[in-house]
Amino acid sequence: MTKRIEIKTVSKAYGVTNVLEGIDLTIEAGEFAVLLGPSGSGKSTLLRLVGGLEKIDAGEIRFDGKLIASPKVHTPPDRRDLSMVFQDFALWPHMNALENVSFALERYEKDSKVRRRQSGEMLERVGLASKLDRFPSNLSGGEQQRLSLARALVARPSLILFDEPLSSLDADLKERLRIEISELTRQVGSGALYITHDQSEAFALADRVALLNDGKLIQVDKPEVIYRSPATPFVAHFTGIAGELEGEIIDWCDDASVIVATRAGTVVAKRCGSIDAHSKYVRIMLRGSAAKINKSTNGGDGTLNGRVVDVAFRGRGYDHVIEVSGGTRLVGIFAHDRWERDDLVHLTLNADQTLAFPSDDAVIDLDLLAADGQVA
Amino acid sequence: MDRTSAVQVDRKGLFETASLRLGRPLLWVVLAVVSVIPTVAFLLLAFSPRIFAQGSSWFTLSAFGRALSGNELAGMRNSLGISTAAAISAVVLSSILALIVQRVNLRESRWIPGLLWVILLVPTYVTSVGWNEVVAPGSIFSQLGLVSQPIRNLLLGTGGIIMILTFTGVPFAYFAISPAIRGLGRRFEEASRIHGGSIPRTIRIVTPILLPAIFAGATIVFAESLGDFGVASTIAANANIPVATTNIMSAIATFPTDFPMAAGTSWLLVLTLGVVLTIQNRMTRSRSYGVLSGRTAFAPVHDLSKRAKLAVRTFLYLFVLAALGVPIFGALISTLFTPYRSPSLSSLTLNAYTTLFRTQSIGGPIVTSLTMAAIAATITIVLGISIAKVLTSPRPGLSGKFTDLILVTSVALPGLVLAAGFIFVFNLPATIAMGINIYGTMILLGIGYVAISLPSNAKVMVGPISQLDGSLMRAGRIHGASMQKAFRRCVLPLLAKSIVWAWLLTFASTFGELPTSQMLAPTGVRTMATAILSSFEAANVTAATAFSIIQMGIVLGVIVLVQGGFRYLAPKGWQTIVVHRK
Repeated sequence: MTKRIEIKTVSKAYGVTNVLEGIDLTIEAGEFAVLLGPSGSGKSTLLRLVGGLEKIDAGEIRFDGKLIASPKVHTPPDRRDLSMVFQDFALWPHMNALENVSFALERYEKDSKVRRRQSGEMLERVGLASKLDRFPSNLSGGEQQRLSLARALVARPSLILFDEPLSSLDADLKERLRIEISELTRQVGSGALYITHDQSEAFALADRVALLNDGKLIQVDKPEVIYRSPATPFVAHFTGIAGELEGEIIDWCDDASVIVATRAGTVVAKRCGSIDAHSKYVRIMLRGSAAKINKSTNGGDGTLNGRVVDVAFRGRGYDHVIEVSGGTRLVGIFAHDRWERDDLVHLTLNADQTLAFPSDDAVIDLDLLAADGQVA
Repeated sequence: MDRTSAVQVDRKGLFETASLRLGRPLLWVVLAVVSVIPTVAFLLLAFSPRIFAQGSSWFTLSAFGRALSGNELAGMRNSLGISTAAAISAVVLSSILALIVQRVNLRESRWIPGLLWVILLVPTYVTSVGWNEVVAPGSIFSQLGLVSQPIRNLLLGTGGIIMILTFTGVPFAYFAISPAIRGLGRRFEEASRIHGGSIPRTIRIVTPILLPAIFAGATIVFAESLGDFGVASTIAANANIPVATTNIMSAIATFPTDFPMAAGTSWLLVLTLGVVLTIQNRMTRSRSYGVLSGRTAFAPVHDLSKRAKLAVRTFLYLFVLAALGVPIFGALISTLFTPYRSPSLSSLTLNAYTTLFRTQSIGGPIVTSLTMAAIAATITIVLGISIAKVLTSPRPGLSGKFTDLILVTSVALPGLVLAAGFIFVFNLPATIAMGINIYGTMILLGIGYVAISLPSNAKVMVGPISQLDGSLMRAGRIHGASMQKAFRRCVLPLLAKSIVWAWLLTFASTFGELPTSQMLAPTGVRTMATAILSSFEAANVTAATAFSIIQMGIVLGVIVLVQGGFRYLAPKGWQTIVVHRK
């Protein structure tokens, strides 16, 4: 039976280094939550705290309201009704596939015949029905990963922990296994806490994404919200931007957007972070999908002039690197058609994916831009 | 390029080609002389004494019949029992030590590996003599009432033999088991715990993964104990406990000599080791236990509660006390007091040491052992590096595999069997008729020392040499250096540190080598080991202990001197180099 997991103001330090500070996160029963963050952000530590592999220094963790971890309480991992897919699989090398999977059922099912049947069924679901008696060393990397997944799923625990399970696989296998993880986890009905540093993996899998940086939880929301309305420049950066411009607000369009003068030109941008009536200077972050490439003509607000610096074929189209006025380079600007190097182009920007965050410093001189004719 | 230099280049090229082509055959000749021929001929003798004019039968099993009856059978039985007990207890002790070092946050644990190296350098007869001195009725400890007769009986009997062989075996088992525990990391334990395994269940799950290392450790200790001569010729001989190695020795050294029976007993030792190694191979090869990967997360060290810390510390101190403290420092203290007198300042004396210089002419054994150990260690290092180079060659070929097989067999072969083979082969009329008349000379003793230390030395050098990237040598050659110059300038500095340590290890083991010295030293020549043993056999335990202490002091002094010399004399770059394979 799945459970609601509550993580309340949890902190953890190793010696004098604070790894996690005041983490608050709730994972609803049956929810697929992804912890996204760069290396060293504390996501692995948080996973280990939930798993009971480490003790917490402050705060508490509750499963369906029952306290399982606090500085004074520590329920051992084997009594938390969990399972885990490890980054390096952690398959016991002296047990065959069936024994590896069957082990995870021992705590729930005393009858070995039932355990064997259920393990066999789960191995069949992950495509390993013909390899029940194989040892991990006789399986390929993908098969080992599927075996590890089968071990985690077989007991239908309340929560499955995933520790960057796809990080060591090649692109094709990664995509296939990602789909299997998503499908099978939802089929068995267990909740999931999945950690990764790959934003595309996180967005593809998650019901909700929790973004961690420097041991702090920065934003928790649906993938679409995180992508469209990142809470901080870090979140925008980490979830993928084509480039960054600095500028000054010259007008307010409505509650949602502002007009900003930059060295590259005037752009209309979505208000993000803590922009308010007092904000003056901003950082503009452009998503790769924000810009559409057109032939070079002056467009007006929301368009930038530039030159194609590089082009890369990506199968379904082309990614371009474009240098805009002022020298900023925007990378990963997609177009179905190929633009050649040194082509002069102008970029039409989608205001929804052009994100403005407040900035403390003036980095451009508006009067100078006006004298250059870049600002009306 | 003028004509003269062209000729020089040609000559150089010729020398290189010759050395490359002749190198391997030359090594085979060396290995054949120092290892294969003596061993094979000696073992062959058990079946066919007539080949070597040692009997009338071309083929007989009578040597085995004698080796499996009476005192010989009892010796074999005792050897097997003692070695098995030592192997099991050494594995248990070293596993506990490895767990403490790898998993516990304790200040003392960082000293354990160094301490185990010290134990490794102390010959077993020195430890035996030390225990004898400590528990002797006249020792200071007996005078203080710390040693009772039952304790004395226990320590100077089978219990003491097993204990000493256990402590000597702990370093071997530790160096096999500790890396495995480290490489195991934390993931298998965590996988078990998170999938519902309790702590005892998790231990049962994880232990099989360590089995190859545990088997390897147990096998080494078993082999070392089975071939041991140090404890056998001291405590076992005094307590009239026959063991296989002393039986081989007495068959050869007592008139009338019975080489075939010694060969038969040697066969039993070799076969026993063969069976143990085969079982170990079967058990570890049937499944893959490879667990170390680039992503292995090593297990963190744990902080213990005060009570647990106290228990761990007590265990560590007791271990150090029993393995080194009592037999070395206890024995040292004992030699500084007059026997059979109640301890007081007035009973302090250096008599044990001054007597050595006055009556035992200790200078002779010291000079002999120093000279022989230094020469043998130097020759062994040169040969060891050459063999290691063959073994680490990217294309070892049949000769490389053959060399490896000889080495592995030689490492497992008890030193006593090899020495017996030397006596036998170099004493044969046929050998003497060929003009090889070195029996009873220092040359044969030197060859014996090299033969005994070459296999382990070559194995030690395989590690650093295999880490060298071939491109270093090639870069030297391509930039104009000859093969010798490229090796000297581009490769040798990278190996210097390892060479110094390997030389010291060989020096230390040769300096105190007992069975080879006992069997091959010319009449009238005393080495440190034979001098200690003869003092012990003459019931002069205090003199033997004082000799042992001096021997340990000399070895320690040479280590300090050579390491200090290297530190101050070698170019700075040689000392800071860490070799990495790309």
